Amino acid sequence: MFAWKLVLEAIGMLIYATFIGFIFMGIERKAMARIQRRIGPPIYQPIIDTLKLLGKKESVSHGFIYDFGPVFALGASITALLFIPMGNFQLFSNNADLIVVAYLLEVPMLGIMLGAMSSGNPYSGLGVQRGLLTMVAMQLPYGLAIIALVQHWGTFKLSQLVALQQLQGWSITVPALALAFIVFDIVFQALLGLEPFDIITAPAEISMGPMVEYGGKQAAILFTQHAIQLFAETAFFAVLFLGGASNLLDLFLKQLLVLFIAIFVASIYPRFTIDQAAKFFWKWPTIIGIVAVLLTM
Amino acid sequence: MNVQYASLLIAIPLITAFFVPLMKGLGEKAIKTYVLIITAIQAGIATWVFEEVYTTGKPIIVMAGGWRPPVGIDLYIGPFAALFVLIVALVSFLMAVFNFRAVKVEPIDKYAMLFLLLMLGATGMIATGDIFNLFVFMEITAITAYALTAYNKTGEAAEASLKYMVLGGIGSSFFLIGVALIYGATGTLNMAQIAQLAGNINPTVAQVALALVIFGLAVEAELFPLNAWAPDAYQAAPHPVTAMFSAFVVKAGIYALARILYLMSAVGTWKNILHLLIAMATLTVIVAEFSALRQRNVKRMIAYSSVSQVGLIGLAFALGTQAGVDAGVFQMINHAIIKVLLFLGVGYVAVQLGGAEIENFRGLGKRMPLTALGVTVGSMSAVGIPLFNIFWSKLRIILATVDAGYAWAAALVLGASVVEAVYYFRLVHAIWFTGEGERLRESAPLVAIMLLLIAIIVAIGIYPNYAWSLSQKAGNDIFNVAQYIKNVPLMGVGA
Amino acid sequence: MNLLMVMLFAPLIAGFLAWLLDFKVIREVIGIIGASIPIGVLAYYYSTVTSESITYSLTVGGFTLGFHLTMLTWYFAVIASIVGIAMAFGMASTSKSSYDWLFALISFTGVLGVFLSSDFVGFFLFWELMTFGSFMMVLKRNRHESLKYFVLSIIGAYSMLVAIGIIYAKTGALDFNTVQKALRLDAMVGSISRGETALIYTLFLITFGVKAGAVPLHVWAPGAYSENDQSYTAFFSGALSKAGVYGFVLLYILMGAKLYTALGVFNNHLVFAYILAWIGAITVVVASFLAVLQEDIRKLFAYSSVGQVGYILLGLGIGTGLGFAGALFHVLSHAIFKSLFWLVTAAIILRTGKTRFEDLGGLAEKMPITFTMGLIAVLSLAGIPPMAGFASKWLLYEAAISAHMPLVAGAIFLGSGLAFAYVVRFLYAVWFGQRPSDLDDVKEAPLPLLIGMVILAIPNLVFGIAPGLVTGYFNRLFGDTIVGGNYFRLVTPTGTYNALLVTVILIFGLSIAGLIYIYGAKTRKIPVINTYQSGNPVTEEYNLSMRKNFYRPLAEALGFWLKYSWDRFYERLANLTEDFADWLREGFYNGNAQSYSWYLTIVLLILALWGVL
Repeated sequence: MFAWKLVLEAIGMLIYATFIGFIFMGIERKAMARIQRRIGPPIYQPIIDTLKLLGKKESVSHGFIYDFGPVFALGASITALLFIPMGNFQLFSNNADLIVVAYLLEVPMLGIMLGAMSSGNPYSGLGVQRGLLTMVAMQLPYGLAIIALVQHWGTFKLSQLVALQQLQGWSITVPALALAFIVFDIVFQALLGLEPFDIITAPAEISMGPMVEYGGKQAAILFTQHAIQLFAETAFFAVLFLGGASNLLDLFLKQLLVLFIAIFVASIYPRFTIDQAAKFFWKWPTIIGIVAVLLTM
Repeated sequence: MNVQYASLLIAIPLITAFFVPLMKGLGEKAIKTYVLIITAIQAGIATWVFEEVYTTGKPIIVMAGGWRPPVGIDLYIGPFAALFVLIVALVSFLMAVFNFRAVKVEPIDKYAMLFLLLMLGATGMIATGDIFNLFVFMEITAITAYALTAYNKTGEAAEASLKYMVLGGIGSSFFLIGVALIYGATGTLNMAQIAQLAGNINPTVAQVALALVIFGLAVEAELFPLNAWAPDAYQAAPHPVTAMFSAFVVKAGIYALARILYLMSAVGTWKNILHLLIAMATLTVIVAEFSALRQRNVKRMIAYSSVSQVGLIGLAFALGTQAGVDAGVFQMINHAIIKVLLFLGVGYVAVQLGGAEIENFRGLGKRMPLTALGVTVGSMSAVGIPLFNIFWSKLRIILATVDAGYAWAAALVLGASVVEAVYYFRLVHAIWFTGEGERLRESAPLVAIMLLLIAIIVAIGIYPNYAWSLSQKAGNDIFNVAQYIKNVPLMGVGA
Repeated sequence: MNLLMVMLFAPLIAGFLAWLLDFKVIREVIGIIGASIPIGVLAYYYSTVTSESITYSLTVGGFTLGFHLTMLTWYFAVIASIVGIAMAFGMASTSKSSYDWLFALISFTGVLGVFLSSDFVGFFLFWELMTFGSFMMVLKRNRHESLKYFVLSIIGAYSMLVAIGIIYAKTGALDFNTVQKALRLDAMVGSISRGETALIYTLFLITFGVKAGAVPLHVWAPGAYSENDQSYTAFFSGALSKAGVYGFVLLYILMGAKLYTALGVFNNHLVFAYILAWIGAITVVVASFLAVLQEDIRKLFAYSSVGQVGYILLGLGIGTGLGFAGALFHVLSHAIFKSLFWLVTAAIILRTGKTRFEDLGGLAEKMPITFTMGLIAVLSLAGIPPMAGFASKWLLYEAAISAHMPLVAGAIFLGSGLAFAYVVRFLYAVWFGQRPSDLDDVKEAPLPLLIGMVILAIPNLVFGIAPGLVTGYFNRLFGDTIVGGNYFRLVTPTGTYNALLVTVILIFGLSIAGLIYIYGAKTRKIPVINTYQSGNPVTEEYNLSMRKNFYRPLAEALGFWLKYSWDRFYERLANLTEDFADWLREGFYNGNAQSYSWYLTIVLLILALWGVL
């Protein structure tokens, strides 16, 4: 008894997510450009870029791990994606646990780091360092926001979280969880690698950090991974705080909302250095997070 | 065989000691061999006595001239005395072997005489059943000990001996006053009879007498703060003598203390004395352990350690419970074994390498591996590592102490033991992991002795049952005063 | 001869024989055989132990030493034995000294004895034995660190002894069963006062805290773990530190009821457990931060080890069934992944002779198998599904959050982030980047060491994909369904984790990604130094990999906190003690006969004042 329907759904969702993810990347670039009074590339530009990279005749490699890193990252992103409930497509989300998904969303980073580290470029090393430190810094407020959420709803199951929110109103309508929302939103900025926490890639400074060595098909894989990751993370956000979604359109609108908030914040703020970011995260977001968890206890 | 032959334990060393000067002309070797033979005979008799007492389960009571106590002076060789007389004899025998290596200073005949008398004094102190006789033997022990301390003829030795003499002299006189008070109150000097009558003594008199006796004995038993002489004397004395000090001279003192203490347990204010003793014993352990911490001279360091271990024994005896006394006796046995091993090893190193400073111990593991092994096993045992003997007795003492309601004393003593671990392991580290050197030839008899002692230490460590049952019997001998009184065939005078 | 005793003493005897017969190969073979017997016996007893416990007793020196193999002790003993075998294989490669074999195997017996003892005397005996064995391993290499370890351990052991004494005085018993019954009864009666109960608790907290390396009693761990044969450290940090954890479990079993009635409840949490949870949380955070900032592989894993044991304490402190399940599971996963790390470290040190990150790099090509093993350990420690490390951490998250301990749970989040950071640092500095030229002829680790690693790597995968094997055992242990589901799926009242599904989907995802990769253009291999350098290549002599002060920005952010150090505090305390000792000796044993006489007078005066008047 093989669940063909489920597999087809999964593949369909994967294609949809990849496409929408790329569009999101395009929107991100376009919106950012408009805010800065530039015209910006067309929103399908990332797809063209990726296809171009895939079409390269030859790519270079620094060894097995260098190739394995992006593959692993993409694989993990796909895994994370398939556990998130997407509107009427539940996929594997009846088995999805908040902690498991939160972890799966972090795994791709390890893949990217692995590949970046094996390249031997000093900028990659620097990017890895910054990426990990940002993650360390944001982990505490991130955790607190999730804890507040779970304490309020009393479940770790994503499908149940959605169901409860449909029944009793979105998470952000609960005062304590609104605080958690603020915290999560700040953290989200770092999750997406946008300003003010974009020092990881800092294109003008360390030439995209971890990604500096990549070109050709590995870069294409990383782009695809980024698209899926973007989709998964925005969906995750929507599921946690915006009541999930009953269909893909609903979900898409919510994802877009989340994305635009992130873009607006990113356009306004300058970049933090790592120690500034750490100090920042351990001050206000943590305090708000603690208040939130205490309120939901 | 008539049990009265047990009196030979006193007679043989006493008589033979005075024959030593006659042998002066025969040379150093002959005299040392003579001592060796005498101690061997003594050990043989002690073994027989031990067998006799432990197989029949009855004490041997030797009545001088056939007079029954309290008229005659008796020797009471119960389980405790039988055990410790054996230990005294065996340790003396082993040290007589060590004499061949360790003692070069003339006049050897005087040394031999003093050596035998020291053994005699300790044996007498342990075996006697008469409190004045105890005083006499104590004086014999003490005076020979003063002389032996000074035997090395160095300035330090003379000074140490003088200090010992001053303190010991004061101590003995107070002991004598205490004995006098007891005699005045009870009209007897026989221990069994004193025990019988102890309940009737005016409590104040009894307390003063007991306090004075304890004060006097505390000097010999090395209790704080009357043990200031000990490190100096231990360091200055010839190596075999140091081992004897630690293994049985101090034990005789502490035994006497415990014996008199429990004989008087019927006295109303007895508990107060116990409190005093517990405080003294605890302080002994603490001060001695801390003093040893930065000691550069290993012999002196082990001397401090010996003082502290004896403090532990004192603590066990001062608890006033059966468990405490048993544990104390157990510790006495174990401590005697390891201190003989340690002083033997350290003394041998000092003889071979010209001093017991820590510098000489660097690289010892490469130069004298078997001696180093001996010192190491002794150190580990002293720290209380499992698989070695002291572990069991220390555990017993601590459990008994807490059980008797003195958790604070146990905590303090254990705290001091931490310090002990530090200095012993520093020594072990210096021996095995620092320094270099050529391997030296080690004396076969001494190595054999050390291996024997190591074997005993490990045997007790792994299978303590036999030693523990001995300790229990011996402990019962001290604790169960009623039985003691019953055992001694008193004439019924004055009772 | 009882099989239980064979198992208990086999390592000890093997160690002694190996020490005595100090010949190449024979020594190693004896050691490995001795270390493998326990796991064999335990496997043999598996079916028996699940239905009834196996007991045995010895009479030693007037004490009855009881031993029991229950489901709980079997679990701990198995973990120690797995790590023990791996250690033995590792040592066959890394240690050439019979001394090491003797003491390593002594501590093995000690650990087993601690787990199997069913009375306090045996527990204390084996506790001391295990401390002693491990201490001697350090003493050989570094006197200062070893003494730091020993002093703290022995303070712990003696605290326990006093506590045992108090319990003995109050209950008259030393065997666990009677003590448990007596204390449970006393929880109702209340003859042991609140203060005394708190005292006993504090004493045990010190004992087990030292062994488990709980902050602030952890200071011995970095030194003792690193100044050691790293194969032995695998056992030291993987199994020996679990004795402290087992001690805390024991504390619950023996004194739980009493502690509950005596110390009460705070905010719906048992006070004594709550203290433990916080100790665990603080340990996790402090140790993980310190681990991130280390510049030496051994120190990094030492601190990491402290931090990971913090998770276990935290789990125990949660006090719910789920918390226990998480903590016990983490005992297993920490043992297998951290020991694996240490064996990998042993291999690195054996082959390169270097321990500092700045001297290493680019070894992945030279030691591919070791690298793979290291990667498995990294994935498990960082908690990447589907590894054993994730399953246990997941249970801990669920337990902490559903027990409403949000701040404690926050510590887990922070700790995980930090763990991620330090393992990646390890990966980067050791395996990747430009290789220092003196490491060009490094060879793969020797076979025995690799066998040891594989022994540890397999359970990381097996229990990761089938965590239900372990939780199912717990359910039987507790006699209750704490964690439901089947072999592959864990179900708690609030959450669910299907390890197999995650594995399958991960493989699915990886194959899609792999397909893209395979059907993409062909690749050309270029050397590590051929990198993008803004068009201005640097010559080969410059090593461009960041190895030193990798996480300097973090150190800057933490500047204020790093000014304080427990280590320095203890050093200062030790110096004060030594000075005090000198002062005491010079003051008291001053060599002056006159002052000695004064002592006599003073004592006489005291006697007179107190006795006569």
